[in-house]
Amino acid sequence: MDQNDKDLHTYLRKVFKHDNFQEGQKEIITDILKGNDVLGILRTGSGKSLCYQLPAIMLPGVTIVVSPLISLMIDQVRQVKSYYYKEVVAIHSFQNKEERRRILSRLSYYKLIYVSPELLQQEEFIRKLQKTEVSLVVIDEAHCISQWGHDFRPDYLRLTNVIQGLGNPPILALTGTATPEVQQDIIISLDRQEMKRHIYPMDRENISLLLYRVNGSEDDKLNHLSSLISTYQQPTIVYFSSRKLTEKIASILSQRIQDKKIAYYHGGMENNDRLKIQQQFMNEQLDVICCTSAFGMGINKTNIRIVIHYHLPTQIESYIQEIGRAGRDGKESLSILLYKEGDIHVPLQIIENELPTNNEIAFVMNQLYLLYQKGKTIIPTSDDKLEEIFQLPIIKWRFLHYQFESHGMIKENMIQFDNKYWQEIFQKINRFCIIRRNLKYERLEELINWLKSKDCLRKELYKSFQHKVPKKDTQCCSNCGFSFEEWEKSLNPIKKEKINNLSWQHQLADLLLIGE
Amino acid sequence: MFQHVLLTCQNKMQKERSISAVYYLLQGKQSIQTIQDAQLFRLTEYFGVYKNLTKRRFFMFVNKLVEQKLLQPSRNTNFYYITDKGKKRFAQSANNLAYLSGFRFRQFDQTFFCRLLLLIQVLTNSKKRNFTYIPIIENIDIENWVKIYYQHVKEDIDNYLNRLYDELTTILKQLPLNHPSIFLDQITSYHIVGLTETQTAKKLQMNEEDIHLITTNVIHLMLATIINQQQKYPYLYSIGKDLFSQIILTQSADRTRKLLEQQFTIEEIAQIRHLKINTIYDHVVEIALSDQNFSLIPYISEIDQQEIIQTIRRIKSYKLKDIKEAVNENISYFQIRLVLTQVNNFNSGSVIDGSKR
Repeated sequence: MDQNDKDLHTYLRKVFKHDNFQEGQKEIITDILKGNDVLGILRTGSGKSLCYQLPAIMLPGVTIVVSPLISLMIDQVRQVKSYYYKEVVAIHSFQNKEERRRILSRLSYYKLIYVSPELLQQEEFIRKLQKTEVSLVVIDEAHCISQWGHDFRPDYLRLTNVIQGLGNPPILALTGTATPEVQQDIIISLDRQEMKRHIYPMDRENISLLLYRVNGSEDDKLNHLSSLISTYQQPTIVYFSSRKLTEKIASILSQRIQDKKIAYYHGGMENNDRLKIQQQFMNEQLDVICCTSAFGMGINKTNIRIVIHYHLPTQIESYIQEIGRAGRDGKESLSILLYKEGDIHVPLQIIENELPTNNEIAFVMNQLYLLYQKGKTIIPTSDDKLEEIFQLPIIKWRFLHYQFESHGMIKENMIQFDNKYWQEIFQKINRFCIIRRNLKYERLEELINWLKSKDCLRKELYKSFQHKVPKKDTQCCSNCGFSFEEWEKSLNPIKKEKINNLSWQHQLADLLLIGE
Repeated sequence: MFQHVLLTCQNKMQKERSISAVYYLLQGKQSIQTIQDAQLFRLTEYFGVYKNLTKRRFFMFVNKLVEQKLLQPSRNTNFYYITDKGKKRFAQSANNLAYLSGFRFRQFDQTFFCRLLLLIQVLTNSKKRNFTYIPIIENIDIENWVKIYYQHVKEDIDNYLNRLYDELTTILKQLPLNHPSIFLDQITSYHIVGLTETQTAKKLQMNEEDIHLITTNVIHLMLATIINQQQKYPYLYSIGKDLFSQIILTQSADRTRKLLEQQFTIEEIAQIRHLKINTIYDHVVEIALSDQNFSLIPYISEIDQQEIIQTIRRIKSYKLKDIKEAVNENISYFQIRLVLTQVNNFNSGSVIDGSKR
C-alpha cells in the first residue's frame, strides 16, 4: 500500500467508519485526486456518494454537487452532517432569500455544497463561487444531461457553460444507469473527451427477480400482496404509483395483517412526519413501508429483504433503481413485480399527466396574456393561486414556467409580451412535449416487452446496460426458476418485538431514564 | 373532540360568519378579522390550536358532519346551520380539552414543543454516548437553540433527565386517563422513534384530528403550569423562558407600534411607511387586541365609545355593518373595531391571560 492508499483508508475509517472500499470507489477517488475528469457508473446502493464525499474533505477547495432532486439533496446533507462531517450544505429554491444569503456569505467554510441545477445558473451564486476555490464539480444523476436519458433535464445542458465560468475545475459525472449511448452523450455534452470511464455492472447478483402475473381482478392482486406480506417477517418496501393508493392500501393491509407494523410514506406528507417514518424503518420499528418513488433515495438501510412493485413503473431505469434498495448488505433478497392484464394504463396515465397537452399550453399562455392585458405583469407565486389561474397541476406549471423563462417570455417572474414571438414559442414547446412524450412511450414499451420475455429476466433487464450478464447460479428469476422455500432457508429470523402495554409513568421513565 | 370543537365554534358564530371563519380560527390565521372573531365570539381558547390543518382536511370533516345530518348547509354557500340532531349531540358531548388556550400561546406553543422533542432526543442519545443520529426536528432555529442549550446542561445529563421526568410526571398527572400516553407515544428517545399523529390515531383507533387536539391540550397545560409556577418547574420553564416574554404582534404591526410610541400620528405613519391608512388602522386594532392597557382616547372619545357599546347591546349584533348603520354617522368603522376589541375584554374578564371556562 502506498502513502496515498494509506491516506484514503485512514479517512475511510475515521470519517466514514468503514474498513473497506466497495467496488469502484477507490479507483474513482484515486482518479479524482489526480485531477482527472471521471465518468462513474455505479449501480444503486453501491456507495456512489462516497466517491465525492471522501475526496471533498481531502481537496483544498470546495466540492460542488449538482443534484436534480431537492429532497434527495436534503437527505444527503442530513446524513453527512449527522454521521460524517459538518462542513456541508444544500442550496435550493425551497430556502428563503435570507437563508440563502447566510450560506452564500460563508461559502468557503464548506467542503461540500449541494446545489440544484437552476440555482447554479444564478449570477449572484456564480460570482461568489468565482471568488472561492472550486476543487471539483460533481454532476449527480448525470444521465439527466442526455436527451436520450430517461430523465432528461434541459437545465443540465447549461452546466457546461457554468463550469467553464468557474475556470474549468475537474468534473465527476455519476449515474446509476446509463446505456452506452447515454454515456457517450454525457461526455460530449460536457466536452471532456479525456474523461476516465469507470463503468461497473448494474446487475445485483443477490437479488432474485420475480414476476408474478395475477389472473383476475384488482382484489386478487391485493390478496396476493397481503399474503406475501403476512408470510414473511422481513423488512419490506412496496412501491405504488400514486399517493392516494399508497395510503389506501397501507390502511387495508394494516387492518388485515394485525401482527405487522405497516406505515405509508409519500412526498405529500409533512417533513417531520416523513423523517419519523424513515427513522422508524431504520430502527426496525416498522416491518413494511408502502410508498411512492419518493421513498428510498436517501435511505441507507442495508437489510431490506423484499421490494415489491404493486404498479408497473414507467421505464426500466426507474425499476432498476428501485429494486436496488433491496439487499445492500449483499444477502439474498427479492424483487417482486405484481402484474395484471390491463395494468399498463397506470404508467400510461402517469406519462400523459407528466407533460402539458397542446390545449393546456394554449390555455396557460392565454391566461398569461389576459394577466398582461390587465396590467398584472407579475406572476403570483403561491401554489393555490397558480392552480386557480392556470387550472393545471403545479408540476406541469413548473415545467411550463421553466420553458417560458428559457424562451425569454418570463423574466424575473414578469410577463414579457410579444405576439408574434409567443406564437413561435407555443409551437416550440408543443413540439418539445410531443417528442418527450413519444420517447416515454417507447421506454414503457421496452418495459412491457421485458415483462413478456420468456428468457432469463436478469439477462433481459440488464442487456442494454452491460454486455455480459452472468446468470445467477440459483434463484435467479421467475423464468429461470425460483423457490420460496429455498430462499427462506437463507433468512435470519427477525425477532418480533413484543408489544407491552406500559402505564404512562413507565413509558415516561422508559423514554427519559433509559437504562436506570 | 374535534367534532365538539368545530360545533362549538360553528354554534357561536353561525349566523354571522361562514364556515371558513371556523377554519381560519382553528388554523390561527394572522389576520385582524380572525383575531377579532376569536375575541368577539369568545373562542380564544381555540385560536390556532390546529396550525397545520389543511382546508381539504377541514372540509372533509365538515362534509362528514353534513352526511351525519349534524350540520346543514344553507342556501348561502359556505354558511352552515347546526341541525336539531346536531344540537342534541353537541349538548351530550364534552371535549375533555380543558386546558386549550390557543390565543394565549399562539406564537410559541409549537416552538416550545419542538424544542422539547429535540432536546429529549439529544439528551437521551448523549447519555448513551451516541453522537450520530438524525435530528427528529428539522428547523434551523430550533436546532441552533438546542445546540446552545445543550452546552449548558451537558455536564449533568443524568440529573437533568431525572428532573425533567419529575416535572413532566407532575404535570401529566392532571390529565384525563389516556392523554399522557397519546403525548408520550410521539416522543423520540435514544432507542425509540416517536409516532406521527396519523400512527398514534391508528394505534388507538381514534381520529387524527382528536389526537392533534389532545396533544395541543397537553402542551397548553404544560405551558400554563410552568408559566404560573416557574419556581416549581425550573427545568421545563428554562426551555421556553425566552419565548414567554415576547410581546406578540405581527412584525409590521410592531413597527407601527414603535412609531406610535414616538408620537407619530396614523397619517404620518402611513406616509413614512408608504402604506395605506387602512393598513395602519389594522395595525392599531391588532395592537389594541394584544394590549389591554392600550388607550383608545386618542382615536375615539369616551362618549362615542359609550354610544357604540350601548348600540351593540341594543341591536344584539357584532356585525360591523349593523353597528355602523345604527350609530352616529360620524363614527367610523375603524372606531367601531377599536371599541370591539375592548367590549369583549369587559365581558369575559381578561381574555388575554387565557383564564379557563
